[in-house]
This record gives sequence, C-alpha cells and structure tokens, in this order.
Amino acid sequence: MNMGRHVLIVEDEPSMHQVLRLNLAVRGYRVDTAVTGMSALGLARRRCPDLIILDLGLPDIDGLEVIARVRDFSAAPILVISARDTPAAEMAVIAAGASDFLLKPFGIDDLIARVRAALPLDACLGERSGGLPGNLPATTLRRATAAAER
Amino acid sequence: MRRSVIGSAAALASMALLTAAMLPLRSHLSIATTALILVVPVVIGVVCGGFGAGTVSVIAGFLVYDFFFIPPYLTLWVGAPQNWAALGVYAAVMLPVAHVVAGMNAARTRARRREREIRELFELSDLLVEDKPLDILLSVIVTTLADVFRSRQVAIFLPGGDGLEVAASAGDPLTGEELRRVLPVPGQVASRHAQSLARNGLLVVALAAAGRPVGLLVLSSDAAARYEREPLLLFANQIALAVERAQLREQALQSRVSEEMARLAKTLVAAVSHDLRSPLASLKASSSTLADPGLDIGPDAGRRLATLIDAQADRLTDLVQNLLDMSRIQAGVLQPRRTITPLAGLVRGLVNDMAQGLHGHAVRQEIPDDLPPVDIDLVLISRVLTNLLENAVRHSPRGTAITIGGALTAGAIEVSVTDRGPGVSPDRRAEIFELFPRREGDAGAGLGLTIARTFVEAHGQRIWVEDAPCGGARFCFTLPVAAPAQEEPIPEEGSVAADSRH
Repeated sequence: MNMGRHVLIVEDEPSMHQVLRLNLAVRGYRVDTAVTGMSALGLARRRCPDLIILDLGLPDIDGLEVIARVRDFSAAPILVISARDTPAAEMAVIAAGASDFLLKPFGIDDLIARVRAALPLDACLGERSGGLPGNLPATTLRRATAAAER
Repeated sequence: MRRSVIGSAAALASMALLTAAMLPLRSHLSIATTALILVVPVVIGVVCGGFGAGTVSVIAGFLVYDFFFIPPYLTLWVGAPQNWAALGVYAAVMLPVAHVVAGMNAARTRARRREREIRELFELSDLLVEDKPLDILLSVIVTTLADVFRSRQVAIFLPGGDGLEVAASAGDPLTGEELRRVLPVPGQVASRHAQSLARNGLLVVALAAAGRPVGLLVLSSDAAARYEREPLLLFANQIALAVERAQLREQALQSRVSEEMARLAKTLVAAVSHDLRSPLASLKASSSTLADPGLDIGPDAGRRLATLIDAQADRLTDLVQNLLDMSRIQAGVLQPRRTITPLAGLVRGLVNDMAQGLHGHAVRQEIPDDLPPVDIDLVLISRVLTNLLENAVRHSPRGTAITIGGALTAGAIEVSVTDRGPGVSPDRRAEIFELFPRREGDAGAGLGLTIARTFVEAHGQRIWVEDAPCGGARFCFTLPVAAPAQEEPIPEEGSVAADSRH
C-alpha cells in the first residue's frame, strides 16, 4: 500500500536524512533527498513527490519560502520538521501552507504515523495481499495491515 | 588694623606732600581751593585704610588746614568768621564723605567677593553636571570649598559601613575628638534640610536632597563665620544633588547590567537548545528505529544506525564540552594551555579525523611548509577549525571544494577557510559571530561561530569573515607566531583531538 508513494526529504543534516531515508525505504516508500532549498524546489518540480518532509533550517533559503514556492506548483502535503519550538513558528508554517509540524527531536514512530496520516492508504490495495511485492519483510506487512485495520 | 595704619600713613604722607606744594603758593590760592585740595588725602586714606584711616585723615586735614592755610598762619586760632565757616564745612563734609567712600569701598569688596563665590559656584555646578565619578567630584568640591571659604579643614561625610565615613577631605584632617563632637549618634537623622550649625569651632552643614539626608559637610568655622551662611548652603545643596545623582547613576548601571545578563542568559538558552536539538533529533530518530520491535531493517542498516548514534553522541559531547570551555573562558577561569605546533600538521590531522563529516567535499590545504609554527592551545584551536569547516560544509553546494589557507602577515599567522557557498552579506558579517540573532531565522547558525570567536579571542587574536574571490565566504582568524627562543616538544600529528581535556 505504500507502493510507489514518493517522498521527498529536504534536510541538510546528513545523519538525519540518512535515518529518515532508511525508515521510509524499509517501509516501501520511494525516497529522494535534497540538502538545500533550491535543489529541493528543482526536485519537487521535476519528480512531483506525493509528500515532502521539510526541515526549516536550510543553509540557502528559509523553509517558509520553500513552502510558499512549492505551493505555487504542487498541492502535495508538506510535513515540516524543525527545532524551533515557538508557537509563532508553528503557526507561520501552517499558515504558509504546510500540513503538519513536528518538533525535533521526535521518535521515528511519531514521524511515520504523521507520514501515513498525510498519505491516506488506498483502501482497495490494503485488502489484497496478492497485489503486494514479495520483497517486503513480513513484519512490515503485518504492521501495515494492522494499521489499516485500526 | 594693619590696613588702617597703612591708610593713615598714606593719607598723612600725601597730605604732607600737598601741603608742602601749596605753601609757597599760599598767597595765590583761595581758602576754598586749599580745602578742596585737602580732600584728596582724605579720600586716599579712606580708600587705602577704611573709615578709621579716613577719620584720622580728616582730623589731620582739619589741623593742617587750620594751622597752615587759615590766617593767622601757624596757629590754631581762626581770625575771620567766614574762615570758621570754611573750617566747619571742611570737617562737617569730610567726615560723611569719608564714611560714604568707606562704605562704597566695602560694598565693592563685598560685591567682588560675592562675584567670586558665584563664579566658583558656577564652575562647580558645571563640573557637577558632567558625568564624573563621585570620588573625583567630591575631591574637587572640598578643594574648592577650602579655597573659596579659606577653610583650614573641610570634610564631606557620606553614609557607609555603620554610620558616616569621610568621603573626601581637604586641609588638616579632623581629629577623633572633633569627629565625635560633630557626627550625630548612629541612627539619629542629622537633618532633612540643608542647615548649618556651629559646633565648637567647626561648622557642620547637613546635606539633603529631596527631603532625604545625604551626608554631612564639615568646615572649620573660623573661616566660614566671616562670610554669610547663604553661599555655603548653596554649595551644600549642589553637593547633595551631586551625591544623589551619583548614587542613582550607580543604581541605574546595576539594573542595566542585570537586564543585559538576563537577556544574555535567555538568548544563550535558545541558541544552546537549538544546537543540542539537531544531534538529539538524529539520535532519537536512530534509536527509536532500532528499538522498534516490529521493524526488521537488517544487520547492515542496524550497524549504520548504531554508528550514527555513536557519532551524534560524540557530537553532543563535543558541544557540551565546548560550551563549558566557552563559559569558563568568559569567566576568566580557563586559560589556554599553549603548545608550539606547525599549522600544516594540525590541519592535516584535523581533516583526516573529520573525514566522514566532510560529506564528500574535498579540502584543499594551501599552507606553506616553511610557515613558522604557532603558539596555541591545541584543543581550542582545533575546535575553531572544526567549527569553521563544519560551517563551510553546511553551506557549500555538493561537490565543491573547501580551501584552508595559512599565511604570515604582520607578525601573526592568518588562517583562512574558504567555501563556494552563498557568502555572507556585509551587513551580517559582524552579527554572525554574535550570540544574539537579530532575525528569527538566524538561530539556525547555532553556537559554532560564537564558540570559535571566544576561543580565538582567548589567544588575544581576532576572527572575521570576508568575500571569497569565487563568491563564497572566507572566514579568517589570526594565530600568534611561536617565539623562536622557546624549544618545546612538538606533538605528533593526529593526536590533536585527544587527551588534554580541561
């Protein structure tokens, strides 16, 4: 059910995007990463991801600016992760067009839950185990089904 | 008294002179003319000696006039009735004249004295409105008072310790006996308004501002009694105002310092928590992935995550250590532990250690081998270089190179770290080393540059950023050249990050 779901991770901290990429890939998502705002915009335009995970603290342009520019051409949900914990920061992010805000540090299960919430499962696919590729670990399959049933 | 004697002498001398001059011409001069001329010595006498001398001159003039110029000459007998009139008028007019002239003279002297006091008061108030420290003001005040009031002893007492203490004094110091007589009993309020009391040869003036007692002014009263008390009270008010102002200034400074410190603490907490959150976020994400019972990511991925956790833990440890070092340096507790080392070796070792952290960016080292060695704290300067490199890595586009250069300039070694990123605009060049981000987004810069600056400045050197020729940023800092005479063992390359934790 996560097949073909394409996630773009925009995060300049290499250790962070390694962990995120690992977690998403093992759950069946296709992952692209960008380390700067400009390259993120380029990738988003070309590859049309289904979800963008965006870190606010980018070296070249401000995260809010990235959100605004992405909204020019894409309605894909944007999940913002940030170390800024002021209520004003969170409000600004949502107001700019992001769909969710997650404060660092966060548990990976929290992130995955929000990713799933942002990308509703395709109910039809979830019921047919035959439609799934064979190379997914059984545990992932079990968890995903359990989640779909909740 | 002396003045009277001088005056009388001057009058008599001038009288003798004029008489001698007039005698030969006696027959040509009228009696009135003689009288008029004999006015001159009286005026001289009064001007020089005051009313006393004036009186003496009038009597002398009367006698001389009668004796030498009123017939019959050389007797005191007066012949004709109109000559009685002349003599009478002379005496009757001269005495009041002497009195008036003496009065005018005294008034003029008083006016000059008052003018001087006012001028001194004006100069003093001019000084008092300047922002000078209290102790300097007080010492000028006591000197001026001693001068203007010609006082042998002047002292100002201000509250301090338990009771009043001497804050400034001029002339002879007051003896213990005198102090006991003058100072009020501790706990007793001397006065709420400026007023002066004479106590056993000393004049005590209470200093008060806004109805609040501020201190005491003590003068030896033999001098002060000669003058009216008013100018003294005027001075006392000025002094009280100056003391109060200095005290308020002190209080304002204190509260400004507390405000600054509170602001610094708040910003430091924000910057630290931001810098701590990044490695913590990677740590948390990695560990929660590994801890997930339902997830099987495979041993390779598991090891990768464990390595990541390890690296982030190191990063946090470094950060904490650097913050501690920075606060110790700023408190003056930590001193750099200097060693002599060649720069090229230090940089090589550091770049090797950083390997992973460079994320594929090549590091070009342009440090001449014949550069003189530097005299630095290895741990602190390694941190400076690491922070600058991490900053360059963070801002460099993928695949671009970072250049580390070293050159000898003006008695110091200048080290530069150049990247090909977006550069730093001129208006932000000073700010980025500061702890206070002026704009919301700047918090992302973290503490790395602030720490670098603290460590560089602990060596008495400076750090700055300029434009790189290729458009990126060029961070530079200076390091002290090792003095050639000292011979110390040079540490091996690679042992830089090592052991010398403070």
